[in-house]
Amino acid sequence: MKTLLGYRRRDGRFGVRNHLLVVSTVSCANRVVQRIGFEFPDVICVEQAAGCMSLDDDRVVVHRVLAGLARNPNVGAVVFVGLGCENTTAAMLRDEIGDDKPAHAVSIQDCGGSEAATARCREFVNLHRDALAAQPREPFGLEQLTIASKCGGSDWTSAIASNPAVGVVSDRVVAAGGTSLIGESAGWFGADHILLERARDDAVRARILEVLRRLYEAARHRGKRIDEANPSPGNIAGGLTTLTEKALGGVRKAGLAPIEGMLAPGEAPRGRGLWLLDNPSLDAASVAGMAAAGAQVVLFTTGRGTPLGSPICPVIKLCASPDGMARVPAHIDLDVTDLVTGGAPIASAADRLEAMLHDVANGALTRSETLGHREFVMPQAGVL
Amino acid sequence: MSDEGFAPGEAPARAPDAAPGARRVIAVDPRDNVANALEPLAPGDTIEALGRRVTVRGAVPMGHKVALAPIAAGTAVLKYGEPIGHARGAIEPGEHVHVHNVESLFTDWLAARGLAGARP
Repeated sequence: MKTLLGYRRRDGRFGVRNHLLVVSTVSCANRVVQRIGFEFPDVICVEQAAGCMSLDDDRVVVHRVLAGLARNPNVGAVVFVGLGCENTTAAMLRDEIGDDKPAHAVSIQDCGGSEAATARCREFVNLHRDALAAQPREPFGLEQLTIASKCGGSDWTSAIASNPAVGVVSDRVVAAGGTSLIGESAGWFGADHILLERARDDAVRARILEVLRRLYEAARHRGKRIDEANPSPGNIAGGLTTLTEKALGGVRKAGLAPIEGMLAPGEAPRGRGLWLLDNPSLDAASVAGMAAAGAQVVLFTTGRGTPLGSPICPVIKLCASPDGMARVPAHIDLDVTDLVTGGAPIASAADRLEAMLHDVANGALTRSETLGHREFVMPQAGVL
Repeated sequence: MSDEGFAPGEAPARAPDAAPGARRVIAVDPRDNVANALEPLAPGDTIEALGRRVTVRGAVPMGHKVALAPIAAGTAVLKYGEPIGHARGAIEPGEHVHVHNVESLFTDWLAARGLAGARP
């Protein structure tokens, strides 16, 4: 890959975007955030449905995901907006971000209402917008790059073609000293033996089993089996027969690199290499978890096609399915159907994906960015 | 971890050019006993993969699996070089392989991982 150019952060990391993030810490603050979004379309405004009245484990996840999103190197400045009485307040998060980057807290109750809070947000936005837009990009190396890989709307081509192409790029990034993340824990059942073999040590193996066991038992508590809903009717119509077949295909996104560890939601990798995330399968929640873990770019394979994007990460969509390309070509960044129709080798698709990753990192917009897709769902206990 | 991308068993082989008169299929691993149809298959069609020439026995939608070899009842359907399920009854070469004749392996994950009974 040629030189990458990004925005230098105080901690020495680089962002591939320079976002001004305005995020609500609780649903009560959503309207304030929404209004800022209407006024400033280029500001990244994230509302959320959670943030209070939750049990401890969910509260911790909300806290970590919000902090992780704000810390993501693609964010240049952040404004937390809260009500003032919620579990994780805007002030707590601002203090946690500290010197990392410009961070502000707005509390509706302290301001005297939502109008005043909106005005306060507007001040902070105007304080930073121009500087962020004017900040120059500087060179950085692959060892500073964190990618995440995801599949959604999968069909028979995902496993045979697009996922292996992503796996090759993941291995290249890891070999160059970078970091690669893979999530969607419920999709590992049936390929878990592969992950266990590739784990660095017994501690990592134990963590993988712990996460899978929790998922398996959560389904069993409700009288269900984890494979009852998976593969989905769409997967089955598209040729996937068993969860094992689907999982063996999905794990191909992870390439061949050893697995350094398993991260809890919102936790960032403690070193370079390939890391697993305890992460939902719902697309918007999965990508949210990846952004919170520090991913700068998401590689997203799809068969049937999806417009999904992320508030702070460029999401590159690749599709090897002639069916998907016929349905929703507008949402696909990289057409790799030649893998299944033309017998092209996986490495050729990997080369093209790597070139696109480089261009997107350096500023080329993905379809999801151009079309304004910024889906965000907070990872929570009920969201598989 | 070469730049070619994959060790044997880890990624699809290059789909061969279809022999004259044959429909296109792709086999992922040399150990597989099924291939994915790259176009819809009809009874009587010829397919070639992994050195085998097979006559199709039933309709196979695009993207679905077709058997390349006999798969005895209760034995593994192999894809990616690994079992993805067991044949419910005997499967003949050229048959459509899918939910109607494949049993999931996924019966008791906890027992398979040696974790059964350790916690309520």
